[in-house]
Amino acid sequence: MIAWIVGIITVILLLFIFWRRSSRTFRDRVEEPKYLFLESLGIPAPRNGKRAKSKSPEENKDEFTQS
Amino acid sequence: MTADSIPLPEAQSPALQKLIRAHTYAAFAGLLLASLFGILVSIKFYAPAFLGGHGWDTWGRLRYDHTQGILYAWLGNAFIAFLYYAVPILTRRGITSVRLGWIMFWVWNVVAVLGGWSLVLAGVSQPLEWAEFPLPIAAVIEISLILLILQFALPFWKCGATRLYVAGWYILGSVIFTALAYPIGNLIPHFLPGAMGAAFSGLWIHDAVGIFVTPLATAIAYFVIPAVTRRPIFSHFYSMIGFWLLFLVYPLNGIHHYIYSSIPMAAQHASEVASIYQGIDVIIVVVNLLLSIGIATDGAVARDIPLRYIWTSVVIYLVVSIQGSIQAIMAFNRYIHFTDWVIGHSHLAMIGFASFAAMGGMAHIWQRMPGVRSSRRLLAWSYWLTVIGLGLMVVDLTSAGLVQANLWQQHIPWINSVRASRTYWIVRSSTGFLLLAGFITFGASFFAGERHPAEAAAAAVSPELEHARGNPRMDHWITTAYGATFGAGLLFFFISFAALGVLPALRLHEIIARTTPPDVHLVLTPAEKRGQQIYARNGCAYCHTEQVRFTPADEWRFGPPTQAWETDDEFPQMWGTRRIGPDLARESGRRTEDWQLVHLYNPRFTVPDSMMPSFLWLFRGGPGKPTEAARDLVAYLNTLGRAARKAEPQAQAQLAGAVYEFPECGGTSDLGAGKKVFTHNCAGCHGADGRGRTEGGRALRPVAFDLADFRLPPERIWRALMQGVPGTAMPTWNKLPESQLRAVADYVGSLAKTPPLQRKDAWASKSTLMLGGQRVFDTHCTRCHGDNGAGDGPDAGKYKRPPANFHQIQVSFVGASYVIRNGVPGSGMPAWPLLTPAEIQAVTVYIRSFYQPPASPCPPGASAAAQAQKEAQ
Repeated sequence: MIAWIVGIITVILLLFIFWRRSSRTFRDRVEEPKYLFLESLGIPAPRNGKRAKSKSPEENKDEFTQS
Repeated sequence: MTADSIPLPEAQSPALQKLIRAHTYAAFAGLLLASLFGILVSIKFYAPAFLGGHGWDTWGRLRYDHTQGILYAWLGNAFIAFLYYAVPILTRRGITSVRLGWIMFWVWNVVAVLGGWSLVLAGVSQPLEWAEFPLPIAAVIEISLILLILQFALPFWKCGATRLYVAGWYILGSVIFTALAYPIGNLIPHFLPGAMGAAFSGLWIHDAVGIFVTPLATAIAYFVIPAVTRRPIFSHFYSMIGFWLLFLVYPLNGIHHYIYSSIPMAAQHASEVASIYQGIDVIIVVVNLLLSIGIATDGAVARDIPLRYIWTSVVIYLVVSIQGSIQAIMAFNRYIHFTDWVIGHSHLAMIGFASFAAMGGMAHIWQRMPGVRSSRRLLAWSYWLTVIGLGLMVVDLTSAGLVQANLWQQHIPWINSVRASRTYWIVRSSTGFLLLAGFITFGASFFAGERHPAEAAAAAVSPELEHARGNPRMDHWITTAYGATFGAGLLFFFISFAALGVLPALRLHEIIARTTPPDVHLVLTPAEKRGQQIYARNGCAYCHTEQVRFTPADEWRFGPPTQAWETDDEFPQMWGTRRIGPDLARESGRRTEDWQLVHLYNPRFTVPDSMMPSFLWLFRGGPGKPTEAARDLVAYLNTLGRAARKAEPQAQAQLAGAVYEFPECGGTSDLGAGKKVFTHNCAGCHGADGRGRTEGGRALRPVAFDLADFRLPPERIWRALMQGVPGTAMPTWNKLPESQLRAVADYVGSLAKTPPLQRKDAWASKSTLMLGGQRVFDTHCTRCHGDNGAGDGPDAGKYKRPPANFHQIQVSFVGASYVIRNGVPGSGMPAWPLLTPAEIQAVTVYIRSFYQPPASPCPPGASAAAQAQKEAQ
């Protein structure tokens, strides 16, 4: 039974990987959330070769990361 | 969808900030108290009398509070604080209800944490790893976990799968799966006994870490890294692959905590394979996270201490996961399981991975909170203190584990491993203090330094920007695929429940029905059940396992492996996951009740190097004054392996040394080595001088034998070492290496000092004393000792321990006088206070006349005994 479970899990993940390799649209869309997340923090995110315009918020200024 | 159409999320609203602060302060308090519990526990390893004598401060109860405190008081609060900050940002929506948040805060901290801690200290708990809080508290925690779903999962509902960032997926998965997994380890073992319950316990042991802690720690990493580096993560696709693998595979790991047990081997192999697969998943996750940090090559890790915590956490995640995968492999597991190696592994996981991620997340949030203080300098100090403390602790515990594993493979007594671990345990405590200092500094960094402007984070979260228009058809497919995979995750969770819990339980049920021997009575009496509860609530199972594994080392040391049918009346199971003391699955019949009671009162009385805590509160001031609870506990100990002993008497007798051989003659006597063996193993009862006048020795029934005033023949000494002495507390010592047995036998032989009567001390001539002594002996002694002193009088059969045979035992005048005046408590020998000193001397002369020195000087002890006798004369 465990062989079936592990096999099915592997097939599911391989399907995802295959889908990503075969479809540029899919490849772009599955990466979209990481840009959206940055934008929701107000950080301009380079997406599709463009940089979204955004006002940088206070929290992401370098004041916390300066030594 | 435009920025104007979406209201600002509540991430930094004052109401949420108050909740974040409250959980942050609670997390600090939980971290400090749980760490303090841990340090107290660690000190008791080498100073067992430290802070002892009461039920509430005994090792086991503090150990329960340590781990439950780390899980719920520290990590629970830290993660919830992070969720209040992160969920509104990830969802761009508010949490469900602030009022619900405050209800959860008070329920979680006052009822679950404080209530759980208090009940455990009061002796109300359950002996289930990571589930030690008693059932009422477990119910409260389960309700809280469901409330967590309402509070944090609902806001994700309308986000859309294609737009949900991976940290959100981890949060969703964690809150949903934890609520599902929690009852498995906390409730089911109360209904399924022994081996069947252990299968479910194993699932929760791993799910607590893998489904509650790991996803939330990983979510923090995925949240903080881009927020600090200001760059997107390396690959969102592979982050999702890591997420799916985690939730699909992790629940399958659980049974690797019970490798080589009587759980069906197919389930054990399944967990082994899943554990290795899990390691592959972690490699994907960690590579993605490290590449995400690595692409920001501007030294962010060096500058930003919260990110530095996260980076360290990620690296340790890789190390600890690969370590975990290797530990699950049977060939490795047989050596290191139950040792301090595993404790080092768990500290690396819970501090190095989970706590460092939580600390990084909390510090990241705090630096963005308005109106609070934060000190970068103190935060940097806390980082180095905790990293160095943890590093030293893990190296120390891993080394200790390797030493223990090595000693357990050798044919030497268990106590050798305890003795060898002492230095490592002292070092472990020291590293614990370093960690505590780091945690205190971490907390202090939140209250020192410059105060942030009140409006600092008012605009911290941007409303959603215009979204790049995607392909609706592709979005639909991705949503469907993600939804199906999440559904598959839920399905696989239930499959894991079935594959590693239900199916093994059904198989075990069938095995138990088929293999249980006839006429075996497993049901405990009420007193034994009460004893079982005392055993459970005081954490005995956390030092003494109750499962002999199917490994050569276990079988040599403890006897036949534990069969599933033997555990069919254990609710809940107490197999244990650590061995500090020996396994007790075969304890029945090995020790007398009085030995167990003296050992409970003060373990050092019977085992000089023991680190077991004293259970003084179970006695009324002395080892001879046990409470009913102490007797119940001993009654329970005597049930462990009782059924197996009846079912397989031959195997048990072999183990007890019923069959033994004298060693071949020859070799030289090493009294120095013998004295060392005697001091470590025998002096607790017999005393350093061998007279048996120690507190422990006097509390035994019969009292410990006086080896200095009574000379035993070498054969008797050897037989006592190999078989124990029936009817007394003298156990077998057949696990000692033969060289040590020879040495201690020689040393015991040399202890006896039985010089002849000096003329100046004699009350009369020898012939007169013989006549008088015979009269006294015939009057008072023959009914037990027999007419010719061979211990075969008509009343001899009345006693568990036969009367002394004076043909084999030579008594000294000092020893005889003491015994005749005081009797031998616990034996048939009474005190004879009315006999005069002259009569005592006379009867001693008469008794000594029976003695026949051993014919052959060959058996061990003979040479030294003969030499000592010659010197005495």
